[in-house]
Amino acid sequence: MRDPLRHLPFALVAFIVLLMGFVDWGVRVPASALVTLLAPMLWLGLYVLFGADHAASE
Amino acid sequence: MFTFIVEFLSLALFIGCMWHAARYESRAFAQQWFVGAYLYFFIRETIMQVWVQTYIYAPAIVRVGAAPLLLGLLWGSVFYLAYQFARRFVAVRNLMLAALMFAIAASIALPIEATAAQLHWWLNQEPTRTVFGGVPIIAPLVWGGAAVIFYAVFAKVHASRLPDRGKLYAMVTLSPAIAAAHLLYVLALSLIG
Repeated sequence: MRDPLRHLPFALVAFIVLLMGFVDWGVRVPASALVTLLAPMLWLGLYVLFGADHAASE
Repeated sequence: MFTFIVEFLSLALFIGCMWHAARYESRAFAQQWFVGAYLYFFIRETIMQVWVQTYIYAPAIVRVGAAPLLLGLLWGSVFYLAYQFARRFVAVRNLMLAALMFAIAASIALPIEATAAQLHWWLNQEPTRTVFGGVPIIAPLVWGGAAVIFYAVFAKVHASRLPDRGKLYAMVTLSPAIAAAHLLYVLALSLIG
């Protein structure tokens, strides 16, 4: 990973998950709302597992 | 309640995404994307708040006119994050990229919508079917559609032979049309949902 800042979008989505998770935990939201955090987490996982730097190859 | 959280989130995402777009795409790309997306949001929300009024924002949210001032930054940022994630999975800009943007934007927006429903950042005026503790069932589709409609216009403008400044003006000029297209899409969704 020569240029980690290229992956800033990954960090920003992780930031959304962490911030919303922290707020949800802080105000004790029901579990039905907490499970929504799994949706962006799925894409974070796919980004790590299957993402390729197509933009750099153009 | 705690509306500053979503406004802080909007601002932080905007700064990060704008910087990333300016560095890894181009400064012109960043201007066209974020100016176009903000105007799109501003026009759409002004119409929604003044005329349609299917939902209202919490009184504490900072506004310019009828539309929220800082929440507009969230739209362009979520679209940009969806675009960058989709670019990791498909090599060419085609229908598959748009479909991925739809799914990714809807996924990123879902926890924000869930927290918004719990903390009453924005409230539905009309009874609607909800999921995940109060999220209107059409909300993720609204976000996904917003991203795809914006990207469809942006891609056409970006691929045109206009100079960079002309592309920026084109995005500014087309933003009411994008907002109108999205309002029609939301209207069609609300008839179903």
